[in-house]
Amino acid sequence: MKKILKLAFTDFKLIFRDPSLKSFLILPLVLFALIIWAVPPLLEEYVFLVPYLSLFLVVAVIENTQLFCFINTMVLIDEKESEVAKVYGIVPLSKLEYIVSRFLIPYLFTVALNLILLFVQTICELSVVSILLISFLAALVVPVYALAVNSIVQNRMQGMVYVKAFNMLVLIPVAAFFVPDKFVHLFGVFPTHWVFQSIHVATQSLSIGLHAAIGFVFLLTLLWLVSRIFIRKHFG
Amino acid sequence: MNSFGSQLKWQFVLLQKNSIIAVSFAVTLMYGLVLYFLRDINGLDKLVVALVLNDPSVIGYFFIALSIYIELKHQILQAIFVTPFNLHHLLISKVISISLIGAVCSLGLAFSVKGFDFNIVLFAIGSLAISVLSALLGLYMLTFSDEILKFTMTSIPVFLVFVNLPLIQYLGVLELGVVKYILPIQGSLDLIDYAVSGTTVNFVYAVVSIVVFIPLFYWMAFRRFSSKIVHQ
Repeated sequence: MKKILKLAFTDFKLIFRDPSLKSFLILPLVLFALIIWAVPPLLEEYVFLVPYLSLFLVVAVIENTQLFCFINTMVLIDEKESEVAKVYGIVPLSKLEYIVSRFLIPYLFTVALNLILLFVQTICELSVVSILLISFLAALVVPVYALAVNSIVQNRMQGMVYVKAFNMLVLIPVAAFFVPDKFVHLFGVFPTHWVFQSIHVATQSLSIGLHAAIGFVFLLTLLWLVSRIFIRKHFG
Repeated sequence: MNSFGSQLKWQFVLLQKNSIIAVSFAVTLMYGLVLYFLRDINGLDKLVVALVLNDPSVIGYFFIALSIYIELKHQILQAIFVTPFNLHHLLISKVISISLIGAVCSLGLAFSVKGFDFNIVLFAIGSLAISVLSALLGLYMLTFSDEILKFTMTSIPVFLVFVNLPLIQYLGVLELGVVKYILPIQGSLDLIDYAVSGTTVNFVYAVVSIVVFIPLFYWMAFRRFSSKIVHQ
């Protein structure tokens, strides 16, 4: 555990050593500003947006996850291109410990971002339990996304191409908000659908237990799968 | 095959090698399936226009910059620059290849919603113009950064003004009045809007806008690229 934490903190410092990566940390602040100061007046001005208020939270929560999805994806691709990945292959850490160390802080950071966002937003009332569940669930997108992209791509060019594709896969369940009720869960094949539906149900002051449970099982299963593929591909 | 034709062919080969063609088409197919599924909801024409504004512009703007950064990083362009190459051929072939992919993806989105019930020619012209302008803007902007992450950060405000300002004006969130007519993609946006929704449009303005802005953007990109990248 000590080794994992040491590597986790060292790895996290990489972001602050690279000015271009560090500048991405401004983006959550922009998002917070939009959600706190721009969205409430917009909802007052345009009444037709009121039925979609959960959608604003959905987009905000998922955009918070995209910060470290992108940063971790790029860091791992860079290590692959510069062949640093092979060095990680021989350090005295198991591959699983390596993955935990690389994603522990980004995951917790993303959880914290969403906790703060959901507590400070004034768009709708959410219970503390719902906020906690949604924050821990949504942040699982980060390791799944970054490991999945890095299991496919060979270089930065391909990385950016697949980042664009994965962004679409992450956001596509938004369409479930515009279809008749009987078709909503057709989007359940996309893992983020269960995150989005959890948020939607939470905004109606209903229990999110079932949606969140499906989301956790789905994302953790995907995480296990992509971790195995990533380990096979990344250190070769 | 002449030099330009050869350049164009190899640009497509490179795009395919880096999965850009396959992934762009796969993404379009996914969007298309969802849009087809949603085709009976209100306001879908606006959603198509919004997607067309965002998708090809992102393809053009970011992927052209990314390809050049990678070629610079691997010393490919530096090697090309000492050969008797034609910079116009290089830039135009890059712009055309990436823009055609953007335009084809846009058409795919429109077909999924409208079938053949829209003005295909005007839509193709509008979406191709957006892709070309985005690619040329990407070429111009990449000269201000030395790597893709810095380029991405510096691009956020530029891209907001270039794409999102016309988009929020189009969606009715903001009223820019006559100011909208100086926006580079407004003419192309009007053509796309007319093609899918039959909205009244000033064709003279739309055509003049495209005919003026594409050469202007090319001139800016060429001069900047030539001085900052080729003759650095």
